[in-house]
Amino acid sequence: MKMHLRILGCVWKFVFHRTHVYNLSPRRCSHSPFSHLHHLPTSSLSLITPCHAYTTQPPGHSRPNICWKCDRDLDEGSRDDDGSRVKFLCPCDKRVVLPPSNTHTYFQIMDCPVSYRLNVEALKERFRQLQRQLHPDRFSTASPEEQEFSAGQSALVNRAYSTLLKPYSRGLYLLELNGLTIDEKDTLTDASGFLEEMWEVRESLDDAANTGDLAALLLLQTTNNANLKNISDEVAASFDSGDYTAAKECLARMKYFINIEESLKDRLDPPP
Amino acid sequence: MAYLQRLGVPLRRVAMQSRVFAASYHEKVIDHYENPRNVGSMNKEDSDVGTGLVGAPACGDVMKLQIRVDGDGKIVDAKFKTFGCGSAIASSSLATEWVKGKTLDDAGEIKNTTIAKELSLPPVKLHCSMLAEDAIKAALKDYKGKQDKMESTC
Repeated sequence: MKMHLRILGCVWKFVFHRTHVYNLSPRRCSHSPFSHLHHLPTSSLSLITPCHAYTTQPPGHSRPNICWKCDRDLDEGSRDDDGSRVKFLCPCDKRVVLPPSNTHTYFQIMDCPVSYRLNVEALKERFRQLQRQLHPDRFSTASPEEQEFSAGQSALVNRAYSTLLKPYSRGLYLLELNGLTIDEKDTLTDASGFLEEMWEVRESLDDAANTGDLAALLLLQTTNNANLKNISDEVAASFDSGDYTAAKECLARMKYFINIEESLKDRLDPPP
Repeated sequence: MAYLQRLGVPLRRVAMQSRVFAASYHEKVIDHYENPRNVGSMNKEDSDVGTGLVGAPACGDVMKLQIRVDGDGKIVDAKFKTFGCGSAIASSSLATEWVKGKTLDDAGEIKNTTIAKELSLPPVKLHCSMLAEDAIKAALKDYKGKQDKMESTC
């Protein structure tokens, strides 16, 4: 009997521990972290990396916008704020890190306007500023909850930064926010002659690399860089005018130029 | 190795990639990647040649598959070249092996699922086999288009 009670106690502790005390493990989202954004069709959200969806607030805190540690109203003093501002730390004490947001886009996290045109320097500065505040190294002596929150926040900021930094991934992300994806099952046939053009570039790249023709490789690089710039301008213009189908087509072409760029880099500056 | 160079794979990276491959790709993919069959090209202007050029917009791969057809409507030769990942190279290499000796109709029956099964492609790489199926279809269409044109001009 004693033994049975002990086992029952262990099981109870385990269940209690998992569901009530910690409840910190990031959930594998069955729905998107952006599903609260009603203007977004759910089908558009497959590529968006789930931002640490915590099933509930930490222990005893079912109310959102309340600091899990000190019970402070996080919206206090920012009543004019529409709630879109991302909160990383509790204003009461800079050492209290909040759970990672599951309701903000990467643009909101990085405090950028939702646009393909982006101030890269401002993005980098925001990234450095956030990591200075949130990096897990700062919380190495904090409670396990805070260590986990800071690791989650820091990883979320890393993902937001790397997604927005590169024009191609930024474009894909923006496309997804507007309900479109480039499906990997799509096949391009060569109605416009674009593939033939790309094929010829890849062949000349191979020939130049095999014969060690540096001048030809550099010429290809110059042309490709110009192509990349042009296509990026086209993507920006398409997003500006709200033509997401055109933006998608441009991004599909951009990927070919990026692959050529990488291949050229490998040939011109081979990795050690 | 010379094949790999022709396929656009810098040799220095091959050793590194082989290790990665060993861990995550089926041995049949590695075999086709390291010893691709029927790499090359044919003159696309020849009337008995059909050329399929297809691309995958999500990964920027581009694949060319060509067939040569004899007077009886049988595919006597096939060539390919692919700029893409190991699975795309393996899928198109296998596709050229399979279409050889087949009639046009039988070649048109080759399904991406059969290719994927033969190479044990993981779900994330299924689109590579779809690309190979589309390349076969595009080559057949190109050849048939040429024949129709010739018939109409005769």
